[in-house]
Amino acid sequence: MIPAQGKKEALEHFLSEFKNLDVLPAEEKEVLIVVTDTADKNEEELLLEKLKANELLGHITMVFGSDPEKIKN
Amino acid sequence: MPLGAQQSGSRHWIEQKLTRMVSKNQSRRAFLKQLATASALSAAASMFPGVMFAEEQIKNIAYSDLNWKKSPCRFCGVGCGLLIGLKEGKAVAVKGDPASPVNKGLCCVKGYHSVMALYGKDRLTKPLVRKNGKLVETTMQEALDLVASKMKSTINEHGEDAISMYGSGQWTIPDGYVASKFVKGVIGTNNLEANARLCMASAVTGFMTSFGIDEPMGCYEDIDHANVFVLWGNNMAEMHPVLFSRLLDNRLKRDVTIIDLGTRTTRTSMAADRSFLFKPQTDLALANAICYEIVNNGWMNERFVSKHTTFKTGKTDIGYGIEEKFKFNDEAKASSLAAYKTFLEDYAPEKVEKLIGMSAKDIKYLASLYGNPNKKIMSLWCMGANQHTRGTWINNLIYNIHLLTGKISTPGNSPFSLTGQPSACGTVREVGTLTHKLPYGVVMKEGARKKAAEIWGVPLENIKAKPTHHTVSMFRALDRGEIKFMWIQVTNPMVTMPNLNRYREGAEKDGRFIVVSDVYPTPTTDVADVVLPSAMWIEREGMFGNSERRTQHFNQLIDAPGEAMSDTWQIIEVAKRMGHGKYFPWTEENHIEEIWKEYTKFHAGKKHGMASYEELNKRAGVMWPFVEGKETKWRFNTKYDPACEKDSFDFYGKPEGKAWIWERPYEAPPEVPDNEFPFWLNTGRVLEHWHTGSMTRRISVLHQSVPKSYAELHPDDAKRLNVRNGEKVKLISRRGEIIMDASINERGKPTRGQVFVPFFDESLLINELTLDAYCPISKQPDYKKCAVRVEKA
Repeated sequence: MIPAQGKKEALEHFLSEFKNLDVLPAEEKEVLIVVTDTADKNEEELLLEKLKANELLGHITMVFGSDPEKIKN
Repeated sequence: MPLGAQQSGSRHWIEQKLTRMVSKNQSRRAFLKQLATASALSAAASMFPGVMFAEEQIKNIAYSDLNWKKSPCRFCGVGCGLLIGLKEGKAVAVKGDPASPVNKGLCCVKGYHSVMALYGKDRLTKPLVRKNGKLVETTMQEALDLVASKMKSTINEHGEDAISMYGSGQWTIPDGYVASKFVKGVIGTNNLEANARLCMASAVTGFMTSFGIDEPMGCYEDIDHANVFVLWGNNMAEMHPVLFSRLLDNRLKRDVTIIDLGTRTTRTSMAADRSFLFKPQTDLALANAICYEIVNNGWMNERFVSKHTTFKTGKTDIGYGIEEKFKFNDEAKASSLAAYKTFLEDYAPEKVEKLIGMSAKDIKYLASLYGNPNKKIMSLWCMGANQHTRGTWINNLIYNIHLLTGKISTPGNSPFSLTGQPSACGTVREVGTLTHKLPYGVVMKEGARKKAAEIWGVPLENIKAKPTHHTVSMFRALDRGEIKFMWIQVTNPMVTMPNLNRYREGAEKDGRFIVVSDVYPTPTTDVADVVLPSAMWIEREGMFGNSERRTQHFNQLIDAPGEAMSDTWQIIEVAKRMGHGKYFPWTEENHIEEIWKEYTKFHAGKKHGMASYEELNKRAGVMWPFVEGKETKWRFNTKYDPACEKDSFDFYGKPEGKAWIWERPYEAPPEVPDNEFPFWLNTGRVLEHWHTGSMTRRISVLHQSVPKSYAELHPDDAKRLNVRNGEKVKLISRRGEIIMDASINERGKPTRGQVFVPFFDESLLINELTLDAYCPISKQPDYKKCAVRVEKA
């Protein structure tokens, strides 16, 4: 996540209130890594909506983790 | 330790930190979180070279006991080396290959997600045939029988030129080679084209006209030597992010200046030291103005120019290919330095600053970067220069700048044309899957035909001496009914063809038979009579060739789903059914190795020698010319290139070993904004999606990141139209219309009077609006310039 200008600490504080994610702030750059851990797609989408709605967030780029059991045969 | 600072090390930081083994009893959930964190860390590293994260937070990040195997990335032409993590017969993880000199362990966001594209829920696993208007499942045997019988009957009834094959820069090298042998050598028609015509044909004709031989003289290592990078209409931060990261990494360590030249403000502009916006099409005038400054300020390398170059003029006022059966052949005439200087008089910065939309001062600054004898300089370009009705010319003009200053073919001095597909170079350009090409040379040359006939073991008369249809012409011929049968593999023309409505209607007409080989349903499979499910990427063995002449081999790592079959083997199976099995006498087990051995006979020698199959298997890619066990990093330079026979430089593609400096003027595009259609329409790509999105839109996180296409507007235009961000706008051209969300002050910002739309979204087909005008020399369409009206919807 790239915070809105000058809002990195505030965004980190905001994110710390969520139980279903971990935050790794970069030390010298305006970027935070956020790893979400949601029970299902619905919870994931709700979380994403809440994150995107916050004005402290400037930009979000998403990457992945996958579960081989979920990959269809 | 900063991530970026470690990128050029022998063991990448990511590798050091992330390959620690996790305990076997670790929960799957924890493993997945670590994998996701690893991906995010690496993505952050590619976006922010030098980024650091607290040691205690990352020390436990690790990959578990996956079986890691090498492969080039499936997506763009950079050709990053990947390590694919295999588990339980599935590809479940990706990391950059630290042994790859291309990316040194880095990947972009698409690369990290690439394996997810294998497992979309609607993957094609069974062939489909159209019965009573509907596609219904059948067996592979029945589908292949039908393709072969239809092909045969079409040839019998209408002749060889009634059938055609349309492939791709995503074809593996064996796919393209077998297609060329089958279509040109066995069937006997030159109706073979590939979608690379739409993306880098102008780069090819640029190379051929300036140097007489295709593909860049330099390599990615130039990035580590250059002081100045000039990006010509190239949003490298999104389209070639790993290479762009290498530019940024060098800027952290050395005296490096990055210049962005474009027609809209992008992420690349934001990261560049200077960004200059020019008016669409005026890059032609800008390049000539730079040359004017070089010549008139004493910056020309006179010794280099006199010894290694010669001057040429070509035809002017050459048209745009809009007419139905447009024909054009350029004619080179000898010129001189004196005539060239006179030609440049029209391009003094003060004379062209208004046309270009850049101040004379800025043009002079840009020229001074090229002219400075103490600066090594790279020019990089891709679709901005190539998708251009004067695409060949702008390629020539960028080469002119480097030739005039002698800044070429040495480490860090490098005009470098980038490509967009994983094997546009390896397959389309090197194998020659275009109407006029053969694996060695062109069909018009008897020597090239003889060589092909001998290696292929086909009668010489099978290989026709006259090219038939380039891509736009081929789809026009399909529309007119001259082509009755088309087999499309690994590409999605019903999203990518310009002026799309015409070509879709043409493909759907009665009396046309369309076969499509692909991995997912697309708008192109929608028009098919037969759909063949293809084995994708690491589900089969193959080779790709990237932008720096590097060939990369990959083994089959996982099974293909259902009845999916490689494109290579599909062609061989159809050839056998048509009675041509003797030309393809290989087994499923050995055919890739045997094809490689046969194919490389075409390129034997110091100018294009290729590595053996065994060598490719061992290494993370090998650059050609590969001569006596060594890669050639800088061609045409006697110090590095064993094919050179002259002192210092030998441009051996041309007679006398001299490169050609061309007089190429500015000429306006065919359609410009007017009162009725007052906006420029510019189309392109986004970081998260690859081309038509048929793979990346099935990767959940990439799709969620950019779920649909949009129309970028300048804020002043949006205000004037009373349109807010996210509101609907209607775009109308002379060919079609579309309604989509407006994007204002988001990812990119067009200049006033311009609208930009990405083309990845098959539900918002922007190519219904674009114009099928093309460069008369390269026949590559211009997707960057046509006129539209914008209304609030």
